[in-house]
Amino acid sequence: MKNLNPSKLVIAGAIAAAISSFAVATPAFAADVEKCYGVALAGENDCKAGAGTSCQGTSTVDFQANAWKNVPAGTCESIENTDGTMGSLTDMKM
Amino acid sequence: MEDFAILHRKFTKALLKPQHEVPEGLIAVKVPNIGRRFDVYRNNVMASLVEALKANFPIVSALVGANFFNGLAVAFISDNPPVIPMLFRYGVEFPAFIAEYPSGASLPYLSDVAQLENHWRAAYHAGETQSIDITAVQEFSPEDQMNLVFEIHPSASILKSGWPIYSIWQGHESGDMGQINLETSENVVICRPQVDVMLASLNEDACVFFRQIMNGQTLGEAYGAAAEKNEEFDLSYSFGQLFAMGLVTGLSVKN
Repeated sequence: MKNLNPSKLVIAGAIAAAISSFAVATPAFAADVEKCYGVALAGENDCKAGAGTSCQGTSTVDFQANAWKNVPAGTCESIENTDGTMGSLTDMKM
Repeated sequence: MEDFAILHRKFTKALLKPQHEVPEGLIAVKVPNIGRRFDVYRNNVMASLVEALKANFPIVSALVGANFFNGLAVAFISDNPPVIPMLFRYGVEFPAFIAEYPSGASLPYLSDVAQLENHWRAAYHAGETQSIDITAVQEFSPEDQMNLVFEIHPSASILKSGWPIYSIWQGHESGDMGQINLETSENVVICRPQVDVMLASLNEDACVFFRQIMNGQTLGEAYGAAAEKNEEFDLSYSFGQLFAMGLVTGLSVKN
C-alpha cells in the first residue's frame, strides 16, 4: 500500500509536468476570441417563426389523438449492447 | 367574475389534456362549432411546447425518433406545463419523467442523456468569466500549491452516470455513433469558458478529484481523495485538464 498522505513534492512534480505538457497544447483562454453577443443557437434568442409558433398546426390536430407508436426508432438503433439487447426496434415492455 | 375564474381554470386544465372535453361555458361569436376552434388552439399550445422540448433535448429526440419523442413530450407536457416564462429552462424535470416512462424501458440510458442536455444548456446560458492559465500556478511555492483552492467557472458542472453518456453525446456531435458499449459508465465535466460548451469524460478517480476541487477542497485534499480511490491516479493529467477545460477562474491559498 502506497502512502496516501499527499506529499508536496509529488504535487509540485505533477504540476510542473502538467504545465509543461498542457501549456503548449492548450489554447490560452485569453481575450483573443470576441464573443459575438446576440448570436445564439438558431431560434434560441430570436422570435422563432415556423415550427412551434402559432402559425404552425392550425390545420392539423396532431396532438389531440395520441395515436403515436410507442417504439423508439431513432439513432438508438445504432447503439448495441454486447449481447445486442438494447436499442431494439421492438417495444420491450417490462 | 367568479364564474370567469372557474371557466379560466377549466380552460387551462383542458388546454394541456388532449383527451379532455371542451370546457363548458366557452362561447365564440359566429362560430357554430366551438370544439373545433378550441382544438386548434389546444393543438397550437401543445405543438409549440413539443417544439420547445425538442429544441432543448436534440439528442434525446434523435435517439428515439420523431414519433416516440412526440408521444413522450405530450405525456410530459400534459403534467408539467412551463412554470417560468423562459423556454430554454423548460424540461428540468424531463429526465426524471423519462426514467419513469414505461415505454422507455428499452433505453435505460435515455434519462441520463436528457440530464446531460440539461447540464449542457445550463452551461450554455451561464454567466461569463475569464478562465486563468495553468502557468499562474507557478507563482506559488510547493507548500502553497498543496493548499491551493480554486475559484470555479460559473458554467462548470459534473454529471455522474452509469451509462456511456459521453460517447453517446460525442456520437451525435460527430454524426458517427460508431460502436458504443452500453456496459461502460462515463462521468462528464461540462464547462463553457468561452463561446462553446466543452465536455470531457472523467474516470472514477478523476471525477473524485474534480468534485473535491469544485467543492472548495484544497489541491492536497483533492489529490488524497482521488489517490484513495485509485493509487494510480494521474494527478498531472487531471490537473492539466482542470485548466484545459477552463474550469479555473482564480487561485488562492488556504491557511
